[in-house]
Amino acid sequence: MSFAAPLALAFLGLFVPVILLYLLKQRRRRVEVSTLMFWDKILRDEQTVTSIARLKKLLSLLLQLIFIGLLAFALARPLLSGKLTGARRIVLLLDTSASMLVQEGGETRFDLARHAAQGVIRGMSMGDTMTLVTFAAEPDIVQPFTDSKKDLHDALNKIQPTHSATDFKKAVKVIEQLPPDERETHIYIVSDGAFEPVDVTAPPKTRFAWLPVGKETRNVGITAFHVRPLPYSAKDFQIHVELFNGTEKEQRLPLELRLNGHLLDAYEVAVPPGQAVSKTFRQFSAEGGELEAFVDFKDAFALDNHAYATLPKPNPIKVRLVTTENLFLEHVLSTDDGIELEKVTPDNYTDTTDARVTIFSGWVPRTTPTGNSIFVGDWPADLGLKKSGELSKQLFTEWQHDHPINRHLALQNVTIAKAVAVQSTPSFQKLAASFTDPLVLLNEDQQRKVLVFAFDTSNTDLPLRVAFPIMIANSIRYLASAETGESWANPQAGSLITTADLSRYLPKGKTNLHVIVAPDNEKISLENLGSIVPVNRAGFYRGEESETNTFPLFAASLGDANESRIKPSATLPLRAKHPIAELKTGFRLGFEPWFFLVLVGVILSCTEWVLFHRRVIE
Amino acid sequence: MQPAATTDDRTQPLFDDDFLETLEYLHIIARKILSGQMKAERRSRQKGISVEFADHRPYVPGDDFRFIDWNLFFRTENLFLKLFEEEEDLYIYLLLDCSGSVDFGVPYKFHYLRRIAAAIGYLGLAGLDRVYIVPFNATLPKGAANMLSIRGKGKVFTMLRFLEGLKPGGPTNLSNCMKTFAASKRKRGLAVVLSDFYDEAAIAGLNALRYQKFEVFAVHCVSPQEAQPELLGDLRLLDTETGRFREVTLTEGLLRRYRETFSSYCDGLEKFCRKSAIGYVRCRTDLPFQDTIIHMLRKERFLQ
Repeated sequence: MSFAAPLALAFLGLFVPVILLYLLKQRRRRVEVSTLMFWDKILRDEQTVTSIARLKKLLSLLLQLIFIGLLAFALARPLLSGKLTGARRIVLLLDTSASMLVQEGGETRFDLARHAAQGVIRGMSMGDTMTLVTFAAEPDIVQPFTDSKKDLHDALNKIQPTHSATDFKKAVKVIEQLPPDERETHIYIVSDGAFEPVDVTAPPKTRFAWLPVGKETRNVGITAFHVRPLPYSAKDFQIHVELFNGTEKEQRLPLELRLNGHLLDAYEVAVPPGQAVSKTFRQFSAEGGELEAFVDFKDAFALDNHAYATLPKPNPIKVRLVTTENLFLEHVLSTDDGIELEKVTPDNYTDTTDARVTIFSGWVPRTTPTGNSIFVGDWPADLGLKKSGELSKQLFTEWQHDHPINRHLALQNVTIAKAVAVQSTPSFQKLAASFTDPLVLLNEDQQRKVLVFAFDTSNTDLPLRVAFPIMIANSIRYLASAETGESWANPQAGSLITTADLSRYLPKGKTNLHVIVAPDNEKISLENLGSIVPVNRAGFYRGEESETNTFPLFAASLGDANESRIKPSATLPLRAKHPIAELKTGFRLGFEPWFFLVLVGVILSCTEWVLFHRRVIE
Repeated sequence: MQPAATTDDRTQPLFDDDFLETLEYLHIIARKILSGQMKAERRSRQKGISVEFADHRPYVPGDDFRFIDWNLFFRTENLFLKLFEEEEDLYIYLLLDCSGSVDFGVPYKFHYLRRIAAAIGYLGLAGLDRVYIVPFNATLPKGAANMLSIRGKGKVFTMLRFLEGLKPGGPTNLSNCMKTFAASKRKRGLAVVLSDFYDEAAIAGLNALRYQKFEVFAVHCVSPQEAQPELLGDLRLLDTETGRFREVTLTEGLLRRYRETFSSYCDGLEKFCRKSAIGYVRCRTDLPFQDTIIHMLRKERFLQ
């Protein structure tokens, strides 16, 4: 045993004055009475136990000396070794996922969890060390191993619940990767257990304590919310909503959609108890913006009643059609509202243009232009494709179904009256062919993409087929590297996105982004973050142009079925091959020895006080 | 509990003009109380020869036939004797405690006892009774000079001077004193014991008087400092009577036990007196002494 403040043992010197004071006989006040007859009668009982009275007197002195001794020991702060005290290594896992925001009688589950965690910290004994780990989408060690309760309490008080779903597997990894320690390891998990049980391979001498919080079960919520522009109609978009009903009876849930704060539409969706129902809606917007879904239902968990998404502003692809006349192409391109068409005659053709794709039909330039090009029926000689005659009465016999240009295409039975026989080179990719003869070829490098149709639209019935506008739309979007509906997605709350991902959400014309304004108006400076941006809160994230001017970037929603199932788990959400050693989570006195010394001292002092007031000195 | 009476209290005049007026007032009160009950000043309990008819009784052979009531014989044809009350001097013995224990208290207990004694004595002298004042402590005084025997209202000042000259002190032995007094061949009469009765054998002393056919009346004088002491802490208690002391640490609990014991003793004494047909009055020195006298006359039928 050692002492943190050994100088305090000097207080033991107080023994001397106390003993001296005790030996000094107190001068008593003299009082005259008419008779001692009654006093004799009363004090007769006390006199019969004179020896006990003397013993009491001695005991009183002894108690005072013990009290001073304990006080001196307490001030010296004795330190006991870990082996002696049964010191532990404690890992406190605290759930900060979105479900911890469920209201439980005026407090959130996270408040309850914090109280429980404070109890665990208070229960630390001498020699114990504790680390504080929060877990939601990602685990976070907010306080490394320490024996300082103050540090732990400070760290605990700073923790705030997130809007993230729980990935308990990652938190379990933290436990599994704990370095070996000779002390027993106690893992305290403070959570509502709103997630699936996870397999764990616990280190030796590890015991788990499950501190569940919460009782509420009644909740409905939006467990999925996706929105995408339709591939061939930039102003149309599709919304997918999944609604979950966690109550005990069927609910007809009123679902509202708001775009840029204005009501877009409202629906009523019947959802059976304990089940989720998916719905898809199609809407139109020429401007895009911030889209919010809201279920108007009063329950304990408000966060999942809202879901957020941003829609990109439609950005038509500028296409230049160089032809004397091609009505088929002209009509197809002009009816596609995702395309801004510029028609140019061969006489007015120049190589310089801001069009992202140039289509040549019935005329070709001498040299292949530097930008993305589509050649229909003919192509420049410098492209490297040699013509070896003509083919007649061809059919599409094979095409790459998985290529974006061929997506949704049905080319069977499309006849081609006349086509150019092409000798392909390895730099060209054959997208469609009539047996061995290529009909559609693609050449792409880092600078440009060139698509070659070996037939003219006037020599085929393809323009009469449904596949024709799809094929042209696919080709232009592929060559222009334009976003399709499939590639448009908002991140989930709690995820991390890269700064490269951010550029995807930047509106046209915005190039520089330095500060992001989070839904809770917190400003995230990209310069300080590096390449990773945390998306912790659900809601709309906006880019900041100036102090007063922001623009929509992206939105994040909870959208997690596990989080919306708020029914707490009564059992430890862990599975293992071997039985998991569980801790009893009863009250534990976690104080340093000095506290007990002072406590004993106070008790002794009270005893001494009682003895003093009951004593009779003869 | 205060120590003994303060100097001022002790040196106050025992009997002054006001006191004498109070005595006269008490006499008037006493006359009013007694007037509706008897015609003579004071009547003996003995039957005898006097002018006051008392009763009839049947004649038996050997009776003095001079007392036969012939008028009654003519009416009833039976012989009856007329009985008359015997009138005699009443002897009032005022046995006054002069031990050290009465030399105590605020107001001064010995002053109080003497005033009571003076008041009773005055009433006796005014009623033409013979009044004896017998001071005592551990023993009875020896020699007639230390006691007072007077008769007649004119001796009032003699009585007061005698009372003024008394000095308290010494231990008490009430039992022995009473036994000695009872054993003396005195004429039987009213024995008024004025004391604080701080003697374990006080009852035996009263019994001794009672057994010797004295009509006994106990005036129990209590100081407020004795009944409700207000003391706490480490004290050295000094007995003013014996000079003995005790060191004691007084707590509330101990005080409570004292009060219970004191009260129990006083109640025990009163209970004994009631049971034994002994007149009893308990007086606190912080109450006017004339109230005690009036209480004795009215409630305890003193001097009736």
